[in-house]
Amino acid sequence: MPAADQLLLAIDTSTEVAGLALYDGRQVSEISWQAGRNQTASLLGEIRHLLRLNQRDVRDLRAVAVAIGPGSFNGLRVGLSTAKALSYGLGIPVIGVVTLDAVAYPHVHGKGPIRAFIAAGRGRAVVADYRWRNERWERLSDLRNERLEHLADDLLEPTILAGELGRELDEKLGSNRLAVIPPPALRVRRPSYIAEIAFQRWQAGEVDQIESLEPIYVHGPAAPVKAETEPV
Amino acid sequence: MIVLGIETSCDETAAAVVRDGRQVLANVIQSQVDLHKTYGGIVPELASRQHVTAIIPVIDLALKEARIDREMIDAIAVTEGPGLAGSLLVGVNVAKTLAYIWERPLIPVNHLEGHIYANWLSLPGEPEISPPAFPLVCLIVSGGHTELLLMRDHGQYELLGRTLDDAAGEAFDKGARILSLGYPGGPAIQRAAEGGRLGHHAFPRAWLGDSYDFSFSGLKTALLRAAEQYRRPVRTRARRPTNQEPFPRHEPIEYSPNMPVADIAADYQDAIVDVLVEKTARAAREQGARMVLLAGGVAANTLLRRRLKAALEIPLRYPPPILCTDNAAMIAGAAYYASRAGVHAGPDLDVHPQLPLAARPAIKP
Ligand SMILES: [Zn+2]
Repeated sequence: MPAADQLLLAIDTSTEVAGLALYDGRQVSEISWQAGRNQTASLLGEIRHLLRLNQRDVRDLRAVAVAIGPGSFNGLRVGLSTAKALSYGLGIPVIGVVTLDAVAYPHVHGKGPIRAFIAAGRGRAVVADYRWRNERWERLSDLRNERLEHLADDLLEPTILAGELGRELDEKLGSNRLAVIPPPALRVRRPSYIAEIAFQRWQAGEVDQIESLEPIYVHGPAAPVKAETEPV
Repeated sequence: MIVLGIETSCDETAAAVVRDGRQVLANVIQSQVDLHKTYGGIVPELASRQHVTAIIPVIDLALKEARIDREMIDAIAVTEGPGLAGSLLVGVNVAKTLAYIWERPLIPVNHLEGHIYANWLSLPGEPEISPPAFPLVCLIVSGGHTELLLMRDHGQYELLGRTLDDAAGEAFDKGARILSLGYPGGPAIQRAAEGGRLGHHAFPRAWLGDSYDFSFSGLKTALLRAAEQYRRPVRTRARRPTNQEPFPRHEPIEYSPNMPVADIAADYQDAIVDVLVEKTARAAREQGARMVLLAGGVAANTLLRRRLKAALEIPLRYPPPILCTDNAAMIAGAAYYASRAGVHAGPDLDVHPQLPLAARPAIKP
């Protein structure tokens, strides 16, 4: 039974909408904000804000979780740098969570297959497939970069498409009878999902090493990354 | 005052502990030179990736080498710019988070200011050196910068001149790349030029009239021309980048063994050094400087040091080689003087990839 002193902070800077959650195993408090391309200026201020809202001090934290992507390379580095400094400075464990796991998370109460994706710009997305097998959820595929409009092309059975889509693609993909498209609110990636996934891993003793924890870098198939440009 | 400095503006992950802006207690640098060698230069995305994994171990090692407890750190300093955005943000986010947790002031430092203040530092185990005397003229020469400054006091930077195109260090890097001498270019050209004869290859010097500005872009065009006749037919094929190897590798140019590499490198280096020495010496005379400082990676060039010393009637000072390249001791050192002038930042500190070197408030007595 988790006690109130098991406070975990989750950080998600995978995309331009950044999010934070405080979680102690029962109670959750979260905030999201439009951070744009530069999360550096806002992230630490928002962490202080969330702690203050909950009358908590940064020294009350017992673990820190961070989304490790896929997502914007620089955005992920902002979250990772902050999470690592919290872990090192406070002497608490750090847990990295694959961002797509959080995208799939609101749909895991069922047992049907899930295809989770996160937009990668220029009409593309990074995609992973999830299956309920041997009494547990497994992420099957390697993360792959695909065109959004082809997201449902190879489905063989009814599959939940988890992730945010524009209206146009909604209709296009929705015309595929095997594509199960959840209502919009369930497609939003929430920082509390990162927190809950990490909390379970933390309680199971699965924490990460500060040094080796790094973002997942998924490149598109096209041109190489040029200096100072973001592929995601 | 003991300052923990953090520097991740380019391709070195560095942390250091410095007392009172003068005495280095620890200076840890994790260099990425070997990584970037493969690509013939710095790949910004790869540099950023290395910072993410290296930063905490580097800070931890600096604190251990300094043999101090965290409680003894009085302030945390970090490079806010100029530099690569994806690299800078690693240091800035780590520094401000540590400052927040440890309840210490956060001092933002301009990377160039750091290079200048390397001249105030003594390495661990060495006695303190006397501080440089104002007014002074400082030439900052590195891969990203060529700046000639007048300083009448701490933090009082008057920009006399700067490069209009390539930095001096960039001219070395590009030159070494053209001659297939490897990366980084400064030491490579210097090594290749040893034993070379001067005066066999004409390279342009951009004097730009009476101005203190520099221009080095014409040099590489001339170098390309000089090397062209020895070039062998290209056999390399373009490789398509993949997710496993998304960055194109550098394929060196092949030259005939008859190419007089040493002579070409010697004349090329001479052309760069000539202009740097002439303009710096003139600035020192015209501005009434009491001392000249060299700073930045190219300050390690022995020809530049020797020629500049010979051209001056006042003392020349330059940091030891380990403090010429990018390091965090210089950031912690500069931060000491900045904090005495009241400089500090809050949790909203951002990165500033194009940060100019601006004068800051005078130090309160
Ligand atoms: Zn530098």
